[in-house]
Amino acid sequence: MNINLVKTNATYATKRADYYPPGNEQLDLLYHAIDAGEFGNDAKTSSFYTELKAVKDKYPKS
Amino acid sequence: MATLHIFYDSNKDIAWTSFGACSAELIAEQKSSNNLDYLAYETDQLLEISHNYVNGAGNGIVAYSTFSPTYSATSVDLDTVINITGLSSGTEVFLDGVSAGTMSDSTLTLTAVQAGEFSIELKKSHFVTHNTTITVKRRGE
Repeated sequence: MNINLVKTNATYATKRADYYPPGNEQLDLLYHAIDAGEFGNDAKTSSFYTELKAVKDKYPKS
Repeated sequence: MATLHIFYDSNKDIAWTSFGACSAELIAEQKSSNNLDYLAYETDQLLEISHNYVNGAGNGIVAYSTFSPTYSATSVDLDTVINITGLSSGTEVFLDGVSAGTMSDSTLTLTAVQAGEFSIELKKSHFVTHNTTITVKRRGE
């Protein structure tokens, strides 16, 4: 017998929330999608991209 | 040693006990009104009604069995399947206090599809109820 561990008051929203990556990971995924050109080159002029890129350039991966 | 008067039902579960006087009239009344049988049991200590029952012959007391389940894990990530071994068919499983079914064999698995803490309770006739808490971590925890 299998039992799914789920709360009786669960909704699609609460179930989704558990599976989403943490907020900073979601933003990082978005940044890298922009960086890869998936939203076009104009997206690279957005403050979202430029401000995160400035931080990444200031502290590059060592 | 004293005589403990025990009244029990058709499932051999003890309904009530007393060290006080017990007349033949009371024994007959309990049988006719409540269908309770009677056992005079020699003992020097009180009996935990919820942890003992009357044996098949109706002439002795048997302590409840205890569950000895083994959980593959009790703190897991989402989508993990937890295997529980050491159980037998007829065990009723409660999730957060609500019956999730009765096992027809000795296989029990729990699939973690939502984060949070989950209460698992195992019940079976003439067994001491067993409780465990399972923790499911949300992504990134």
